Order: sequence, then structure tokens, then C-alpha cells
Amino acid sequence: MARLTLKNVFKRYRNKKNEAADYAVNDFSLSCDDGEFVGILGPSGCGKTTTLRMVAGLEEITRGDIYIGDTLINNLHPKDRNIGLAFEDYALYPPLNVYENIAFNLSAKGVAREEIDRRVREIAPLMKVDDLLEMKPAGLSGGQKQRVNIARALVRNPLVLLLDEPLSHLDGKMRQILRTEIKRIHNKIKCTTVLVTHDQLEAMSLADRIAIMNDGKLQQFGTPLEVYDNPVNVFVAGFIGEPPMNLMKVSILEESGKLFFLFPKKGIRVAVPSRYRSALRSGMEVTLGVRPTDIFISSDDGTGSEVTVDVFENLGDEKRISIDVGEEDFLTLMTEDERRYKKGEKIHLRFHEEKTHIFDPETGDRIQA
Amino acid sequence: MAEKAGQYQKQPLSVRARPYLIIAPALLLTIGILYPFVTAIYYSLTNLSFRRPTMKFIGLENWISMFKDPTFWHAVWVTAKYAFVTTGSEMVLGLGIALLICKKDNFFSRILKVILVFPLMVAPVIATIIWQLMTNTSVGIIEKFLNLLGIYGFPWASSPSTALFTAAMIDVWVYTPFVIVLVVAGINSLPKSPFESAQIDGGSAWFTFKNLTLPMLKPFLYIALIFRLMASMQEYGIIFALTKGGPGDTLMNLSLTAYNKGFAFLKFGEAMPYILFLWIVIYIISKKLVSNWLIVQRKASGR
Repeated sequence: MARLTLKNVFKRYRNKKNEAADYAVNDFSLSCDDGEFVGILGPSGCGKTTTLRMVAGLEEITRGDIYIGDTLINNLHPKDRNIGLAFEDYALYPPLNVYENIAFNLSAKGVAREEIDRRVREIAPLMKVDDLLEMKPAGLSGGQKQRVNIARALVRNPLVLLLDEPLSHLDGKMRQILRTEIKRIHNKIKCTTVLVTHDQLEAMSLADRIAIMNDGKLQQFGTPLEVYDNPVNVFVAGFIGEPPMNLMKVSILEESGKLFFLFPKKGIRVAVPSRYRSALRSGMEVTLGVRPTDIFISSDDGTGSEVTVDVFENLGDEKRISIDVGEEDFLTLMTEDERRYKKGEKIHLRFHEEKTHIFDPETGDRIQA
Repeated sequence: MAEKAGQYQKQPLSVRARPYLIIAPALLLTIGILYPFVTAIYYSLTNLSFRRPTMKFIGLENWISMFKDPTFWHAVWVTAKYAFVTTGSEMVLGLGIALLICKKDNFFSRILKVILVFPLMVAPVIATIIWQLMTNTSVGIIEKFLNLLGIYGFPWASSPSTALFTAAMIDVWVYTPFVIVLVVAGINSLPKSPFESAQIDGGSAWFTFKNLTLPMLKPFLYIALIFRLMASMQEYGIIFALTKGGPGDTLMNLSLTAYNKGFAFLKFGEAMPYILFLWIVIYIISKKLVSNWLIVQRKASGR
């Protein structure tokens, strides 16, 4: 087990058509502590798998340094990096049975037969594949394949365990089971682990810290709670959270000494939280971000803003209300109260003061209070 | 109208004829294949000869005299040697070259893959004539190179001791690309990630080849083997163009012997058992290989 450090890593592919798209990974730095579980989260094509493959040594590093512990691994052969990689498509060896698949690494290294047997029979029950040892990969289900895949990555006692989208090919239920399993294994062996995923739920539930990537660049690196509560920019705000955060352009309006967010199309106004008073002036344009769970329906006492219900969806334990605030802009809010709302009904809204975010509409960066 | 229970309404003829129309092409083809076959079997039981106006049924006489004839056993031996040497060399060379060429994907290797197919575009007889010119000891280019090594007047096809080697060399030159093309296609169709995983697992090149690459490539190797073995046992063109089976009877395999009997000595009835015997042997061998291929394919895909 060891720290994993990436320092200003670049990956460049030649792309004749688009100069800007040259960099699959652009100035990416990350530091995982010993035994930490780090998730790299981003939409497909953001460079997260490329980053993982550079750590594994399957992809050349264009620029920058990667360290495991204090060792610079840039030019080490994949087999000398002491990593275990669980591939997205399992990548099991089709002609070999499960036992031989798990043992491949050890027998390739020339470990003694008894030692191999001991290690395989130690790791197999941990990943719950001890009943499958004689089977060939083609006879396994997706979940079983992934267990074997992870067992094979773990059997060598790697310094760093890399998981490439380990749950993305599994069906819903198996996904949940294996997610818990991965967490349990990590708690048990405390191996430094990097998980690459496009599924925020997976990253939020498994990782100690999450690195969010977009267009090859690191957007934010922090604990799940940090990235959820304090997104640094519009991308992170919109990417994390389900249903997604409401993000819309509003202008600032000053009236009798008070500041309001003004939704221009319909003239709806919502009071600006007092902590933003110094940062905002009348006439400014900002991107407002507020999660559907942070909008409340208030009683008609004059403090809320009056709006009209457009769509009401009852999803069982939660209800979603869409409010038309402009031509194509809808504000979504969630409520747990039992009332049913009808289209066209007038309600009053209040935003959670602490959890209302504003972003610079040009750069997308968050405007601090 | 009251119809009796269990009685079907009659379908129009066009509908009823459809199943037969669908299999008609295959049926015609089968007839086209079977007719000469059956005729050949029948002729092998007659004394058909182009020197005689009539023929008569003589039972197994042709077959019995064939098995008693030492030229037949010589032909069997030549056929086996030729098939073994050519197919063996082509398989080993084809696999080796295909593995090397797929090691790196760059402009050069892509060009090579195209050029390597060229021999397959040349008729084997033409290729043989080219080689005859190249191996000619007075004007051939190869003689000039051998001279540099201090070898003069290498006999090539003109000596019984080197004729098989020469014919096999031409066969290898013509057909190795066939094996290469098949194996390259096989390698390209293999999933990439198990090999990346093997890189991380740190298997040596030989360890990975033995445990992973070879078992996964076996179905493709079997296809190449089946095709090459069947064709090389029947090989006629290269040997005929090179020496017509000579020098002496050195290269007289079953195909050439049958040809000689039928067209040189005009004894058609006597020639037939040679071809039929060859067919039976090839049929048995390929049947065995195909059933092995199915097993190998199942193993390669991990079932």
C-alpha cells in the first residue's frame, strides 16, 4: 500500500481537425493518501479512463509525473508498477478457468505452486468466487466475472488497486450488491484504490474523495459532501446530484434596498440571500444554482415568491413540481408533503439561504459570498 | 358452408411450392456435385479406355490392381511427404510472420500486410514458371546469390534429392500468405483487454503466448490447417508445371499418377480409383479436423 501521486499529467493525441481536442488529459494533478479510496468521476470521454490507463502503464504519459509511494513510475513496465487493474469489460482470459485466471499473475512471476494455491484460496472466498474456481469465464454471469476480475487484481497484493467502471455493465441489483462488496473489501484490506466511473452515485457512495473531471481537466477534488454542498463551478454543480441542480440565468434587481433574483421572462423574483449582498449589484447577470430539495413551498405570508405550477409528478415517496419561469426554463423542486398540486395553481417559493449558489455566467466559476 | 372438422383449407400451389423453390438452387448444386462423383465411382468399376470403343463392368479389378501396384504406394508416400512438408512449413512460417507483423501497428506493417498477399494473386503455375527461371543455373538470379556463398550449380528441380524441396519451396512461397492472412484476421479479432491484463500480470512473451495467444488463435490455425492440408494433398499445378512429376517418378503424387494413367495412357477406368482413394483419405482427415476444430473453438471462447 502506498500513496499515489499524479503531478501535472498530460495526455496528448494527435487530432488534425481540432487543435483544442488534442489533450485527452490536461494538467491533471491528484494525490491519493495511503489506503484512501478515490473516485474519478466524469462524463464519458472526459479522460478519466485515459488517466487510469496511464497509471497502469497501458498508455504513455505525454508530460508530467506519476509516483507510487516515492517511486517515479513513468517509465516502468506495467508489470513492475505493482498495481492491480480491474478492467471495465472484465478482460478475463477465456481459455483459462477461474483458478488459472486468478493465478495467472503469480504463475507468470514463477511463484511456487503451493504458494499460488494458498493465495488463490485465500482471495477466492473474500470475493466469493470459491465455488467457481473450476469454471470457464464464458459460463459466468456479469457479476461473477467482475468478482473474478477484482480477485485477479487483488491476488498480487498491489500497492494501488485500479477499478475501471467496475459496475457499469451490471444490472441494477447486482450493481448494488457488488458496490457494497467493494466497500467491504476496501474496509478490510485498506488498499489505496482509484475508481473510475461516470455514475455519481457509485462515486459518492464508495469514495473517500472524488475527483471530478471534464474535458481532460480536473474540476474539483474533495469529499462527496464537499462537492455536493460546495461545487466550485457550474459543471460540478450540474453533474453531481440527482435530480440535477436547477441552473439558470437570472439578473439582479434592487428594489427598496433589497436585492432580488429576477427571472426575466416571467418577471418572477426571489430574494437574494443576505450573504451575497456585497458581491452583487443591481443589473448584474449571474447563473443561479439551487437544488430541487433546497426549494421550499411557503405559506402565503408575503415572504415567498408567487409562481404557477406547470407539472406535478407523484413518484411515491417524493413529489416533483415543475415551474415555468421562462420560455423553455423550468425550475424543479421536490417536496415530501402530502398535498397534490394542480397545473396552474399558485404557490409561494423560498430558497434555502445557505444552499443557494451563484456562478459567473462567463467562466462558470462560483461567486463566493 | 359447413366444413368438416379437421379439414384444412387448401393453400394455393404457389404457397405449397415455396419450400421446394427455396431449396432448388442447393439441390441443383448438389446434383451437379454428385453426378460426376457417382459417374467416377461407376467408371472405376469398368475398363473404360479411350483406346477402346466399348467398356464393360469389371467389378473391383481396377481397385485390386491399384493396391498391388508399387507405383500406387510410391504415390501415396510422395503425397504424404509433400503435404506434410508444405503444410508444416506454411503453418509455422505463417503463424510466426503474422504474430510479428501484428506486434506493432504502423504504416510499414500495414504496407507489408498488403504486399504479403501478392503471391496469392499469382496463379500457382505462373509462380512455378517464375521460380523455374529464378532457379535456372545459367540465367537464374538465385544462382548468382548462391555463387556469392560459394555454392555452384545447385540442382534444384533437376535432381531427385532436391526436387521435393524445390516444389515445396514454391508451394510455401505461394501459400504461406494464405496462412498469414487468416492468422492476422484471427489476431485482429481477439479482444484487446485480456492481453493488456497479461501485460500488467507480467507474463513473459512465451508465457502469454502459450497460455493465452495460442489457445485463442487455435480455431484460426485449424481453419488454415484444414484448407492447406486438403489442398496440398491434391496439389497438381505446381508439380506439373515444375517437373511433370519427375525427375523419374520423384514427385509422382496421387493426382499426377491418376492424370498420367487417364490422359497419358488413356486408361480412364484404372485412373479413377487413384482419385477416389485420395478423396476418401482427404474426407476422413478433414472430417476429423473439423470435429477437432469445433472442440478447439469451444475451448478458445472459454466454454
